[in-house]
Amino acid sequence: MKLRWKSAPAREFQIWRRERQEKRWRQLRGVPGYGAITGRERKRRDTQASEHSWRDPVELTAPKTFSLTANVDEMTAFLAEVAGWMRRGRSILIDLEAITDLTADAVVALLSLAERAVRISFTCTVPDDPRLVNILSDAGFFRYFKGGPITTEGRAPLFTDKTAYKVEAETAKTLVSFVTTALFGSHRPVPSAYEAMIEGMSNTHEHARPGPSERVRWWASANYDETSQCGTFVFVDSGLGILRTLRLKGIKRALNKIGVTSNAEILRQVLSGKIESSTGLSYRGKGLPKIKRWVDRGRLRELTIISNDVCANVSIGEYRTLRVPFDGTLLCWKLTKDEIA
Amino acid sequence: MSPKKLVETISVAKHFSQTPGPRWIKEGEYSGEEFRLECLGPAFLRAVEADGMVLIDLDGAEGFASSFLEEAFGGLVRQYPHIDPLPHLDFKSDEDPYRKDEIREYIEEERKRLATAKR
Repeated sequence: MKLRWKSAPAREFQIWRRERQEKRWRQLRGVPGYGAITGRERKRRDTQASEHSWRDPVELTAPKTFSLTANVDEMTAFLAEVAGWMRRGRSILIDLEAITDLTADAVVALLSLAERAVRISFTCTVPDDPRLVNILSDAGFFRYFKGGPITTEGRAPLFTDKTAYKVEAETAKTLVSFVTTALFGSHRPVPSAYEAMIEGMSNTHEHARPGPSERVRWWASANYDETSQCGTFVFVDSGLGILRTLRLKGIKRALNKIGVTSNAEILRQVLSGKIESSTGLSYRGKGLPKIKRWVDRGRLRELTIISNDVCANVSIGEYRTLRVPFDGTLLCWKLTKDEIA
Repeated sequence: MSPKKLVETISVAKHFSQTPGPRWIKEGEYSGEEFRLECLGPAFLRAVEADGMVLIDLDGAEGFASSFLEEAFGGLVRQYPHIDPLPHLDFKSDEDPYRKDEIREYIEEERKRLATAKR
């Protein structure tokens, strides 16, 4: 065997390190005579083990109004909590029993979060209201969160969704068709909804990526509420968010001079077309202003944009800062017969 | 100036796709770039050669994202910077009259931008 020469101090250090490792290994396994762990340390480790057992899921109670558009502060805090436990690799049990109201935006946002999880199990309790159970079931919620019925039991589905990375024009058409067929009995083109969906997908593909080699997944869904005869479209991505993607260095300084300092106000400027795209090219960044024009022309109802720490209710011109930021971008709007001429 | 003779008609829905997509080919199917390279560009050149115009029929499609229109028509200005495309293009958009103005705006903005960049 060929021996490699080593200096005496190096050899000594190697031996000392090996002995220390062996001692620690024996200590951890409670081998007698190897500096047994003190009672206090043992207790601390036992408590930690019981609190952070990988088998026991963390139980999180969902907000009663399970909606980003109607209850944005509680919902973003709840989503942040779910994301936090996911980062720690813990299984999650979501208590939905007490929810009294539910909208598609919150369901899609939670699904997009769950979809990102690797080797984490999700379970849930089922809401008391059977109508809400049907919405969750049709949204495919119980495919990710075990505990509820997966079948639609012969009734017309209330929800359709799709997830991908690239722009899928056919998907946008399918979602529009889902709502117009429910409203009119057959497919009708709705440029406003179709274009908003394409803009969302395109922005995700082009701007939301943290790095050039990374991909960001989007979720798009459409659902129809028979009672209010209203279709709801939701588009969510888990990318950087509109405000983080903007290269605001020079522009922010200029805006500060005229008193525009908050992200809420910056988003207002973006939607009015006063801030150029994150590419820095003046001929780009026209997508969001165009969506706003559709709202102004009465072709999209109740458009809400939630991105980073801003929630914009574009239809009524309300832009506000959130206490807990939303991780990504969410677009949500409604369509009734009134918006489709 | 008398209007130029019609050389060709392109219906986006019939000759390209009912579901126009994003800006770039890399982003997904039926992009503005693909439309410009395969349909609009060649027809536009034929119209320029014949000193005529192309009619672009925008009806019948699901909708047009701004990035699609900008890349198709603003991109035409970037591709052929020495030709003013507006005399050689006409548009039909009965379903959404705003679309014609939107396209003209993209063309004019891009011509202005290129003119400023030259100086």
